[in-house]
Amino acid sequence: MFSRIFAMVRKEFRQLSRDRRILPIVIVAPLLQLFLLGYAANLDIRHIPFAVADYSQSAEARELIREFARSGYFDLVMEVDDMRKLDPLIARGEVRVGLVIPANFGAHIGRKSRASLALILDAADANTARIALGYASVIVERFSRRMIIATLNERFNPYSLNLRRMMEEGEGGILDPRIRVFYNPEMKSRNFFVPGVIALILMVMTTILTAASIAKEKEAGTLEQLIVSPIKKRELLIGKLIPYVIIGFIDAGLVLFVGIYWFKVPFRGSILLLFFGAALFLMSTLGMGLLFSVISRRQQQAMITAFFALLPSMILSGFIFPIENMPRAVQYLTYLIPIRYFLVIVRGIFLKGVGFSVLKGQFIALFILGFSFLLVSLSLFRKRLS
Amino acid sequence: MMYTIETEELTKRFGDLVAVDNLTLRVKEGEIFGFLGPNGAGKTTTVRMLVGILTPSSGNARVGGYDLLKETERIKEIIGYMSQHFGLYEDLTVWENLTFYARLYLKDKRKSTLAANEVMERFGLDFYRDHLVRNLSGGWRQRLGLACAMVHKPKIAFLDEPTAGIDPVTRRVIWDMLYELAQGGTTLFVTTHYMEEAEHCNTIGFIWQGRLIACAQPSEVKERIMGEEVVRLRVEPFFPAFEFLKEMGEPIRDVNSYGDAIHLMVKDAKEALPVIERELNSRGFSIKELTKANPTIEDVFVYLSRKELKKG
Amino acid sequence: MERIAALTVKELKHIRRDPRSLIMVLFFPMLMLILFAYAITFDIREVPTALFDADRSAESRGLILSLSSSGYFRMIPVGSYRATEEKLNSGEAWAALIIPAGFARKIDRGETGSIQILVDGSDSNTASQVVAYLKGALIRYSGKLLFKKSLREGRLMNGSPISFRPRLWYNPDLKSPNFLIPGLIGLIMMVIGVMLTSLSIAREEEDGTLEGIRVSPISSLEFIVGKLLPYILIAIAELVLILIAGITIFDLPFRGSFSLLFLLSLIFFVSILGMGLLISTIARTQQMAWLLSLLLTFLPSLILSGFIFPIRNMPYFVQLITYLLPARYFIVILRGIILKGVGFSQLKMQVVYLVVLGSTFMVASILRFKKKIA
Repeated sequence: MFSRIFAMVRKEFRQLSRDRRILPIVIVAPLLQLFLLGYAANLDIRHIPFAVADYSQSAEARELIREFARSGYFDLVMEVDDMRKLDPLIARGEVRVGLVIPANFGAHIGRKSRASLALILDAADANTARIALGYASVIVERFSRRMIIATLNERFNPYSLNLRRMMEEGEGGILDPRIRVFYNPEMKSRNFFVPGVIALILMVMTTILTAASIAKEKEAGTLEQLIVSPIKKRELLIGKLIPYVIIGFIDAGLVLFVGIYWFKVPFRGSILLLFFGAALFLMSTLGMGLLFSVISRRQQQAMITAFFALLPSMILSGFIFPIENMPRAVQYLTYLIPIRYFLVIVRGIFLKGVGFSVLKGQFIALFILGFSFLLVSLSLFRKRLS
Repeated sequence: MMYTIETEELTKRFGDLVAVDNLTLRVKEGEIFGFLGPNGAGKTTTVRMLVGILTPSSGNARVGGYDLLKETERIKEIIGYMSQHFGLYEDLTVWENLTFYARLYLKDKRKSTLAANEVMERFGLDFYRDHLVRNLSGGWRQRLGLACAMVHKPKIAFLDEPTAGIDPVTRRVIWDMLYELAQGGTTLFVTTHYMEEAEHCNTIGFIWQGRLIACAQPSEVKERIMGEEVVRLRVEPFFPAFEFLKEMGEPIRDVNSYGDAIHLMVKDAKEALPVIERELNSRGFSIKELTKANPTIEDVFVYLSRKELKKG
Repeated sequence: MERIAALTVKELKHIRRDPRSLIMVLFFPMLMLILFAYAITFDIREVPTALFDADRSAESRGLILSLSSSGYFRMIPVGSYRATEEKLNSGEAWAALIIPAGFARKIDRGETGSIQILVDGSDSNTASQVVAYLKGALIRYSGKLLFKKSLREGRLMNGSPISFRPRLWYNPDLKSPNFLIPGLIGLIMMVIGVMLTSLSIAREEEDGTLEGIRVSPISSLEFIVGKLLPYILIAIAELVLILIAGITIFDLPFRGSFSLLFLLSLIFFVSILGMGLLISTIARTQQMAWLLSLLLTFLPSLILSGFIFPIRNMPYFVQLITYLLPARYFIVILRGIILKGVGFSQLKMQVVYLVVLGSTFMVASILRFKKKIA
């Protein structure tokens, strides 16, 4: 019995090693994931970009802004003179938090009456938003207490209604932050993730399916018959891809339907634009799958390669781990990942309702990537046996 | 006389292995050229080069008037190819396979349907029209493979082992079809390792370890190339006699079994016959038949390969 | 153009001939979406917090009330400091709040009463949120106490009545890698144990070599063992590789027993081999085997096993589904041994679940396999 088992084991190892690509992949890929998870995957929220519209230009306002900037959690990106200018900044994702300080801020604080403050949060990424809110609250809280103590030290009157109200409520006291939550008012992280899951599933399905396509014909020996015929390279590759394009679109339609009607993820943008984006995205994923198929001799090889290319994509795409938290070098790497752009497009259209002008860059990038994959596949594919 | 296939020092190397070694041959229009050789001799490699899917290491060829290296894709338009795996899709029907290949070559849906019907009738595949290839037996698959290769009526057809693993009856049927095709003007380049099939061909090329060791008509091969003569012997008991004859040496040059008979290669049959008879009788073997025989193609081939072995 | 059409038609026919695959390809994504979308959330709710109130004063109760009324924390009252540690170690509690005796008295005297907060840092994400929330809440309550005192004294009091510094256990710097790398081991094993193995057997079927097995004197069992054994070896190599890399390059702490980890990893791996075998009996082609194992085992394990998203935060029906995932138990084991240094006794339940689940898969798949071969 053992000899038979041993014979099988030996055969299996031989088959695995014959395929020169598999074993190295199986060794290298986990290490790669390890590196990615170790360096890139970061859930800690730091350096949240924020902008300020300070109408009061008072010393107190400046001190508050300094508190934010010094906290280590927020990075002051811009000061604007009009709070309407904050909206496009948030829409574009350049800024996650907006602080609006009204003109009478300093005056109110001086008179020990309530000063208000507006906090605008981009809650598309509810997780970051909530943590940002938490930090912001703490900063505001501390500032508020300092102000109270500073200005009221000698004139403490326990019967002052104002004071009582401020302190008993225990909320910020002298500061009354009005919080406006953008895009995802209930701050449900699901609204952030569902579009991401849609993109992820689409990517996985289409890439893996196409990866097997050409390699399967190679394995079955039917590719030989095809390359003997006068069919042109591009005709062959396109013909092979079209069914997967169809499947890809059907899948996309189905998951979008579920996302919108079952999960009630708010859909604020143009569905046409979304499908256009999906088409470009499919071009990338199918192109990638095709590339793997062309360079592989066997289905197994193709599919394993595709899978291990997908794993880093999942981690680095911004699906779970914010790209802004990754080291610079890794952030540059993410420019090569198609799903990164599609995520921005999907989230933008779903939650922010933005249009083509804002997403222009993403579309162009997707197109370039997809086209390149297809081009490389075409040139690597030869109507010859190797 | 038009030559539809001409090769010049066609060579293919895989690393250190020379699979095809300076092959030079010519095939006339409308003839059946048989490319004979044992497995691994380089037959399939040669065919793959000639149909343009394997790039030669050196040398060139002209197929159908087109240059192999420079006009490869144009060659593909005028040839048919049947690979050893037949290139059939298991999960499609006979009809679906035929129409697919027809459309690939003919580019017109209506013409393709007509051509597929025609070739289906000719090859007797009507009955299996809607059967999945997966469910067909070997013989019928072979027919289908041939049909797919011919559906677009190519001028030249390359058939790699079209009768491998087939029963003799079906084999005869297929060769009948091949004759018909050749009569219609199609040039057929057929590879096989069945020696007796060589009799069907107009010209035979022997390939051995990548080299063309002979190329002539079957009759020529048997008469001129053969440098030895064949003695046919039936004797009892068979195996001990066989062993003895192998050790005997002159005048016996080679011993091969042939069904229930033994073929002995000798330099001169007339001189050898009495010697053999004496030796066998003196050892108590009982001779049933001992005559000079006509060499078969197989005999020739064995002789030639022995010669090559001695050379190398 | 016509040729492209011919090819497309052929491809579509291939697809039509394999309706099972088509249905899977079209509907599984939807299923996955539904499952994952329910599961993926970072929203915390009801963080189980072990609570030891040694003071039992009005002030301490006031604090507890203000914290628990937020809905973020679910208090688990315990009777001793040791008990809070135990709860943290076993994973029952993610945080612990300890109010020492004399807390209220200190505040009364104008001193600072300190409370202890322990947070399980292995899930750095949840830990960050918990800490951020706690900070805010405590500052607020502290402000309230201060005001009350001010009222009593008739003058504004300064200072902070409550001091605390949260201690983060197991992963003090809240390094995400420490949270994620142990889980990675589980994931990679899933790839090897389920995906590669199902692919390998499906390949034999496609190549037609399974026929040869039927004919030979090898028994189904011998075949299966022989087929799967190489992957066990590969998996062990991966385990060692990741651990070494994690420890040397990412300063992953290793606080438990390596031999225990090794043993339990083997148990986990063998239990998932059954899944791979099962999938290979269902899939007819390599493509399907790979896709099925990816969609049915890997992706769910990635999302639902607690690798990134805490299971406790998921809706209950999703939590029920996670009970079917061996990876879920393995992640607890991995984090327990690597980060917390716990021993077998605390991981007993996980092992039991694994063994039960694993043997079920194995038996079911062997039976199906035998039928397939016969």
